[in-house]
Amino acid sequence: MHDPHRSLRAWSLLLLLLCGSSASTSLAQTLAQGEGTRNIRVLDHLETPAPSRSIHLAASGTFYVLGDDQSLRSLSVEGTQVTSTVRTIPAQIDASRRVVTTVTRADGEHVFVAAERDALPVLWHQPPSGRARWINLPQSTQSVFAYHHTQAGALLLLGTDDGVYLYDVDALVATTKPEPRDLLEAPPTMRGPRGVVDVYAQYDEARGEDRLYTTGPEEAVIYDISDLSAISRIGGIRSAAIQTAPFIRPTSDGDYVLASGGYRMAPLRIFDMRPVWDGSLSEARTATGAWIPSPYGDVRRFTVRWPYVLMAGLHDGFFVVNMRRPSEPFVAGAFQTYAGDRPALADRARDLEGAFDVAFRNDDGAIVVTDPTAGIFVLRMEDLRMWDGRRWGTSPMNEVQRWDAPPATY
Amino acid sequence: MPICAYCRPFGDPESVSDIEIEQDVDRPYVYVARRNSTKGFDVIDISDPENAFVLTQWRIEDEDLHQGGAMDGRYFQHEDRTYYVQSVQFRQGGPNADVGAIVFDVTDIGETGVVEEVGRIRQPNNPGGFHNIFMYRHSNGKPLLFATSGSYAKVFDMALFLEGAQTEVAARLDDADRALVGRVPLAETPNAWSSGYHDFYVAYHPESGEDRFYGGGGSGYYVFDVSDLANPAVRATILDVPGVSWGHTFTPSPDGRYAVAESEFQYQPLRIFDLQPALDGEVENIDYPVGAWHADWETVAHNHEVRWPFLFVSGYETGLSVVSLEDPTAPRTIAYYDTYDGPHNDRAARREGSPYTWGVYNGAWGVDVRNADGLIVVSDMTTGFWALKLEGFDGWNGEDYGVPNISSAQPWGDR
Repeated sequence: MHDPHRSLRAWSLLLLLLCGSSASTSLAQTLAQGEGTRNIRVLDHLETPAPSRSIHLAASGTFYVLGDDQSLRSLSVEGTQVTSTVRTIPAQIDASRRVVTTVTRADGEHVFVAAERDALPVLWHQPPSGRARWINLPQSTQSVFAYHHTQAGALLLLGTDDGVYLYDVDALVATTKPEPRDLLEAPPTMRGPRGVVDVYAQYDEARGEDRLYTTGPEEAVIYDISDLSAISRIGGIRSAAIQTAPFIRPTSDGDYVLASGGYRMAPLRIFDMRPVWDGSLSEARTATGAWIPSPYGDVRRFTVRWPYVLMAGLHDGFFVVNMRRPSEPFVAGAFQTYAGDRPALADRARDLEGAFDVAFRNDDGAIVVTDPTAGIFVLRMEDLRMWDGRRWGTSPMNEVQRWDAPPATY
Repeated sequence: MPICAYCRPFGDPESVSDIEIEQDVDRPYVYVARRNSTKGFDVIDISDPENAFVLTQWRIEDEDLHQGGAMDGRYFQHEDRTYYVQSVQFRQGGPNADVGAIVFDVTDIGETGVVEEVGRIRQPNNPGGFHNIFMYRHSNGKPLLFATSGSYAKVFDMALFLEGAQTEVAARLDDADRALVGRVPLAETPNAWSSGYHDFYVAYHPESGEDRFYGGGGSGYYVFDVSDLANPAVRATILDVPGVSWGHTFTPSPDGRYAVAESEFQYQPLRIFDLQPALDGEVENIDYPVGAWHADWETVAHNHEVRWPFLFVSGYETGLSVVSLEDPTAPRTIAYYDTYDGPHNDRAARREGSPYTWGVYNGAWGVDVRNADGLIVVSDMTTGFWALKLEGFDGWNGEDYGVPNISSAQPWGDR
């Protein structure tokens, strides 16, 4: 049987012999490393001087990657060509958190990174042209998400110990000392040292609502934010064995919500929210399905392109899992980014080694996976060369924002 | 390692709960608790394990009026008599909702086939019965019954109970607590999932000379010194462990250094904790395991018995597993036998809105081991009673493995 990966390795070895460049060496090493590969093609592999962690995919198609050395790397992927530029942000940034985001305005792409400077919480703002500026924030930020609200335009959502701060991006950009338009206070269980650890917003087509998804200690809470003057809680998830889900995302149609457990041996759980949306239940308590790359594995970050869920599986590598039947998920693609051993359970310092974060570009299926021990991988899955929810019989909603039109018009 | 197994099927599905084997090979009796469609217990004669038979059965009177059933059972010996304590849980609205345990004299069961009810321990102030119990021979020589009740593990002196005597504590209470000699509370637990205990284990700790209580409940696990029953003292807590919302079953190694902990939610492995840092005072609380084990990540284990370095697990849908804890950081399965052939993760059994993952609570409920010859017994909720033998495991004495000879088997005959 023809092995496409063998052919690719042969070409790469030839390339290595002919060119002998460090890039080709990295690629060959990558391919040799990627023995645990299924249906995934490597476009490029970048070794970085410091561990690379969180990724944000901008509407422009640029991938932004945060590194432990306060670096913000922007990756341009054109076909099989990958170029990157790096800049250092002079602040303390927790690269393990999703604290970078972008908004495209008439003048171009604005980049925002939540950080700390002189022990004070700040937002670093790089406009399309000109110098970067610093915006004081009321609280340290654990998660940042930019959302195109159906009525209010571009919003910046910050997950903090207090709750979720909502900023109008127009005011953020134009005002010298911008103030948040609102604070959505976290419920009592969520407030405190850990606060709101993940924040995400998505338009729910079927129900015609802008929805905010938050997670923190004890529970995940979902809000209807269609009317920003009357934000209401519409449901939640409170599952045993998940103290704080570090990451939460709905499916494109909002019928299900996926949440990671945040510890080793915790599978990625999927919750059927339809009984919550129809009022039968106030919250979901148990998962309808789950998936884990190995019995002793871990999944923290993922992105949803229904029915696919692309997962960063830490020590087990990167996976694309088909969850069309939530109780019977199966692997559609896999790539092992991690060359090390699986550490002992008590070796908590090594919990977050391996495939750390993932982003997927809808137009051409380009996938970027970070691995703090190995760098940045640019991949493509053979039968996922683009994604449009409509072609899968579902909503096109996903985490990549369109800034040219509100989501209700898609 | 192959296991040979003998199965004695019982009645309706999910009518079997916990199991207890007498340690004396001259008293070859196994007690299997029954619930739901039939409420009481069965006594199995295992003098010939491959031809085990039901010696006798006991059922609650007016069975049809009761909802619930028998849960956990333990035997003990006192003054040359043998007694079996059956914990029960009957729902309110029916009779005996305040009964926690029923005590039987089973001394002559081999000759007469009769179990004689001696009395009932009632807790009218905490109806709902005792979900779990543990019989322990305290260092003071007394046979003590530890029972889940309300916010405590309550401790009853069974010698006083049998004598009809009252404790000084009971002098201030009504007759229901006449044998109550102590109560072990939960240690301080902010935002506890449960206000009380689910299960526990009590053992002598040779190094310190203490009687130690190991309880699962609250939001994790708790170790108490119960040498002075009037003043139980916290020795260690295991709280804020990622994935552990609630403690279920908790069993230490014979030397009290490690502990196996179960949390009864789907996808949860058994976790192995090193208690030493807390016992030494290095940390106030232990919040992370040193090892973990799954039979199948999609299921959940239920009860277990420790015969260090072996761990015998009644793993619900995965049946019986035998695990080596030779390296507590790397537990490994050395044998298994699937007692349950029903559907796994039964979606029809799920209850919307419940935090408990009901779809996986079927199969092997309880397990016990006879130390004298290594006979393993398993109660499967649906397939019934199993007697199994692990090749090469012909008995257990901790000293053969370099640990104290301490297990759930109590030294009733020793003075």
